[in-house]
Amino acid sequence: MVPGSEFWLLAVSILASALGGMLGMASGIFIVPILTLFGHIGIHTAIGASLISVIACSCASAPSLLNAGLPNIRLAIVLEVATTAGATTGVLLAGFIPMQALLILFTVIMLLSAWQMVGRRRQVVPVVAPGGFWATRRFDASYPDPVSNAEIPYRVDRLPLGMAMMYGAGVISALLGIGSGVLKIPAMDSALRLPIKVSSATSNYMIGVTAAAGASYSLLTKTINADVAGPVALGSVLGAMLGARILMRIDPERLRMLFSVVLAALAVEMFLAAFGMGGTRLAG
Amino acid sequence: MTVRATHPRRDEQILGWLLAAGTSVGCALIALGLLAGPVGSTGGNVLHNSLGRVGIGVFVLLPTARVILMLVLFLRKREYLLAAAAWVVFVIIALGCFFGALS
Repeated sequence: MVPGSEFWLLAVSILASALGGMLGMASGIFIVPILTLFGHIGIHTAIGASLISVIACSCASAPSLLNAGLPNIRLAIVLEVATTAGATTGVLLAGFIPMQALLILFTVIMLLSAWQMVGRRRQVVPVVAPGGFWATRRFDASYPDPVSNAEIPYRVDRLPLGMAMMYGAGVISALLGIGSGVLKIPAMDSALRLPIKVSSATSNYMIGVTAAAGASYSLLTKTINADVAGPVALGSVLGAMLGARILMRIDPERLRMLFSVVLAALAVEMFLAAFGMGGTRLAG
Repeated sequence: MTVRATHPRRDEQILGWLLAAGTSVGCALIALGLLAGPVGSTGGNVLHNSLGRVGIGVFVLLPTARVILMLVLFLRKREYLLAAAAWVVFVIIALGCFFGALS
């Protein structure tokens, strides 16, 4: 297979998305570096293709999460006001940011993701918040626990802080073509204090709408190349399904350590490429 | 405090159905486009290009359709704050399209 050909794109997207699926994260963080460093595809084309793959993966995984009753759809629609506003800001900014700055920003996000992958997510103990408009408990909900077959109630706190972090996640998502889990996870776990299962499912449910806000702009400005984005989207859906199946049979902790090293290595390569050094040369 | 599980709820089922159907249609169109490519004829190339683009269009429109469906579901339940949030999300996406069409 020739790097950049449709079947090469399909194969690497299956691989990248399967890795993402095994780690419970979106594949954009792997797809953009692979396309730019090894496929010699321009970073803006890679970001456009990755946005479509993020939408495809989010839509493909959402039905099973919704059937399990995990995403908080009432909270999601409110947080999506912030993420879509951030994504629209991001796509408008993208045209003014030089390629080198995008590569450096991507490097920082990859290193943060690698660090986050190694650290364990901790459940923050909910604190009873004082009264006020945002403490009216209108977003409080419950999720089903398959072990006890009971509903576990939870509270949603500090919504304005969560929304501010979500705005930042939207900007990064549109700028880099990724799901921005690196910002969404702390926003949901630490700011909103959601249970981990609910936070992962709600984040996954929201990623598609956030990416669509950036992708619709990119589609109309013809930044999205159908010959690249099509195979990447299809491969991402197939890879996510494969990754979810493999996840049930392996120890995710060892895998996290291994892929955090891979991600850190890709980050170094991307940083070197930003300055015209290293073993790879980037397309314009 | 725990109560008996009642999932999946009706709204979640409807949203899940929309996303599953849209994903299947988008993937099928892109896959058919990829298969039409190696045919090599002019017709095969036209099919290859147009099916791929329509498939991508389906994926871009699908989350927006989900937002519109949520707007309808919240209006039916008279949850006006959440319906307003869905409307704002829709307007922001439409604004992005407007800026994209302008540039």
